[in-house]
Amino acid sequence: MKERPIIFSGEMVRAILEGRKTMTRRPLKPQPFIITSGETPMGAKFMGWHKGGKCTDLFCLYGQPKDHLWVREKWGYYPSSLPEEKNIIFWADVEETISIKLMSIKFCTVWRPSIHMPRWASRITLEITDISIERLHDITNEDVRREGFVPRGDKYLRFADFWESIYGKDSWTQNPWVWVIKFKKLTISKRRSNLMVTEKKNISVVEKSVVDIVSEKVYEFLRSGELDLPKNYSVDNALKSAYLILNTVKNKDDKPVMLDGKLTGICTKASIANAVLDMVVQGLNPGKKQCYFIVYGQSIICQRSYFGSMAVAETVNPAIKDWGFNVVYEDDKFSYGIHNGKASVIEHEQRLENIDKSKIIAAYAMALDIKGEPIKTEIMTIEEIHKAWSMSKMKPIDDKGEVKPESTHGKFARDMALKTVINKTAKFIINASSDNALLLERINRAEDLADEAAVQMEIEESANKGTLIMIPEDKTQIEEKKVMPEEEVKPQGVKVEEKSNGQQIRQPGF
Amino acid sequence: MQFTSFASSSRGNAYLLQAEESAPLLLEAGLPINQLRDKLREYGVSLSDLAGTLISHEHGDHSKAVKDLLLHGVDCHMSPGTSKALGVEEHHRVHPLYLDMTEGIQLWRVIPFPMEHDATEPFGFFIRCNRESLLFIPDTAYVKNRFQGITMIAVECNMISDILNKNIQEGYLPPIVGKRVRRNHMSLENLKSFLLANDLSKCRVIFLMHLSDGNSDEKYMKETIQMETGIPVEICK
Repeated sequence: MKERPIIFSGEMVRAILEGRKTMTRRPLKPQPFIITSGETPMGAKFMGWHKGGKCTDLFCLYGQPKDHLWVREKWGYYPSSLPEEKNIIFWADVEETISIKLMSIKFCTVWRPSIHMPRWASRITLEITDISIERLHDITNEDVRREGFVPRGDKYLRFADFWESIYGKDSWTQNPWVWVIKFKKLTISKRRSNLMVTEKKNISVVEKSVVDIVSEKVYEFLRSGELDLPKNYSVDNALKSAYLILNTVKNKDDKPVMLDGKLTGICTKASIANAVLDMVVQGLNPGKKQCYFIVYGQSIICQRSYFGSMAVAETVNPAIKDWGFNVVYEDDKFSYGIHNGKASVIEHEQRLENIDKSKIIAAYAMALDIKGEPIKTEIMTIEEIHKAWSMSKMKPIDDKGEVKPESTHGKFARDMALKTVINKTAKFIINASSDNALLLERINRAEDLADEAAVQMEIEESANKGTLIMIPEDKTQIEEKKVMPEEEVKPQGVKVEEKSNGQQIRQPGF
Repeated sequence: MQFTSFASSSRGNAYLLQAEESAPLLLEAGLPINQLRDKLREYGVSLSDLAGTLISHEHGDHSKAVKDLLLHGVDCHMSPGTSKALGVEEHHRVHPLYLDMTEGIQLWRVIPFPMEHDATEPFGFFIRCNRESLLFIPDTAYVKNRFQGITMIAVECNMISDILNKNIQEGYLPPIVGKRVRRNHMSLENLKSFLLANDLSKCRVIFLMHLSDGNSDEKYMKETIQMETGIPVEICK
């Protein structure tokens, strides 16, 4: 009894593991002309006649009945682990669930070709039960089934495709002589296949369902022409960084959305997929801080940053090559003109001594074309900027309309003012110029969700948490009506129980 | 105590609050004075019978008749911000209300509380007369305070978030309007959490006011609130 290796593809390994495959066909090399059967002096059962009249005994390279075959398949190690039996992962177990790129993210592993699999790493051993030779086209429906395929309609169809996928174009029509090797399964390392079952579950929950769904959807959009992504945008890179960033996203109670690549159930799968799709459709990359993910309640949303707005504006209007922006201080020389209703900055002269963050009077931003000519200019006065800031959920503006000095907007007034005006310019370009319906729809959807999220967060923070109000009954009234006062009735006046805020409560009489 | 709705929508709001012990109180005056007078007459009340009027904020659908009411000699109670916005702060029949201070209007006891609405100084009112009390919450996105001893609630329930979102996303509602509605009006979901945060053991009825035309669903709202609280719900029209 001899042991020899045999290579199987991932699909076939799965068929063997599931017991669907008990037979394999391997072409003879070199191909003989005619085959005759019978016992030769050397003990071979077949003789092949080659061109030129040469006759050889044919021995199967894979052995004789009762010999063993160990299966070589595509494999890899878990990251940073020793090359031991328990650390091996098999391509066949994960191939179906995720794509190669994601596999690399998940396992940080390098896949090794099956031909390099050592004996100790193999998990399947087969015993040959019968060997014969036939023409490839002689395969029966029964045999197609034993090969691990379900014959449907034309019996050859799937098997023939599979054959050509391995041995190349026209390999089926050439109808070669093949060794027909029947075998039975001997051993399968159970421990390893169990490990893979659990592993498979984890992967399928997260990656197949979220990132893969999204990438499928994106490629569908791209194929149908609905979606047009910027040339330098890599969907895979964006998905990779989205996946990494999603692993760090936490909700307001500091609970992670994903833990070790598994969904924790804080957010729905659908909302994650939608947020990631919003990101890709807009051509954003969270790794470049063009957007970030925010959790509210059960949903997660993709919030575009102002870098993102600039990128989207450049996508919808390819003429935009650069951006110009600055703030205007009180003593700056600044003038702008309006031509055909479009504002443009004519002159802006600034001196170092003018720079004072408390003396910003305006800010402007412009999208520039390749020659540096402005396509769209937006000028905002400081009042307009403050008005925009008052909508911010960071609440940088106090009740009197003044910027709180300790807030981010107070400390970095210049940067925040620029951010506001750039955002406004970019948004104008996005809303005005695009005929890309899907993009606009997704942008609007994302913006609307972000707005709802902001409102909802504010409401959740402040609603129903304030002071408890009650009006005690009037003593006089009660006495007049001769009704027994309730136990909690206190003397006249307002009773306000202090609950959360430290306000001083006045308690006047009537 | 009896609560009656004369009009309840963004076209106008006016409600009448009656009690055996005291002269009736008009809540909001968002109807033209003629209509208001006709409505009052249906209930056997003339303008001079009113103990006073409470105005929550200066928007037209809540304050249209204020100046006429003042001319007819009806006392109007509102926040200083509201009276200023309406330009009536100097009028001798305008009485300012202050947060955390109880106002006595005949036998009515009114305590105002702040609301979240895009008006100058919007107030909601917690009104008591003897053993009965009404919590009156017109336009607001949410309520910060909680209340004790409520026997009746009249509260805005403007829209259902999902319907609003759908209308915005499908373009029936301009996004800017949608954003305003979301920030300034009560959704069914927020109302639910508000009601559950309060002690409703003595509450006998809930009135839902100010339903939006396009973003609400009367039957669903009524059933939801009834199911959540177990208290009969009536829709104001």
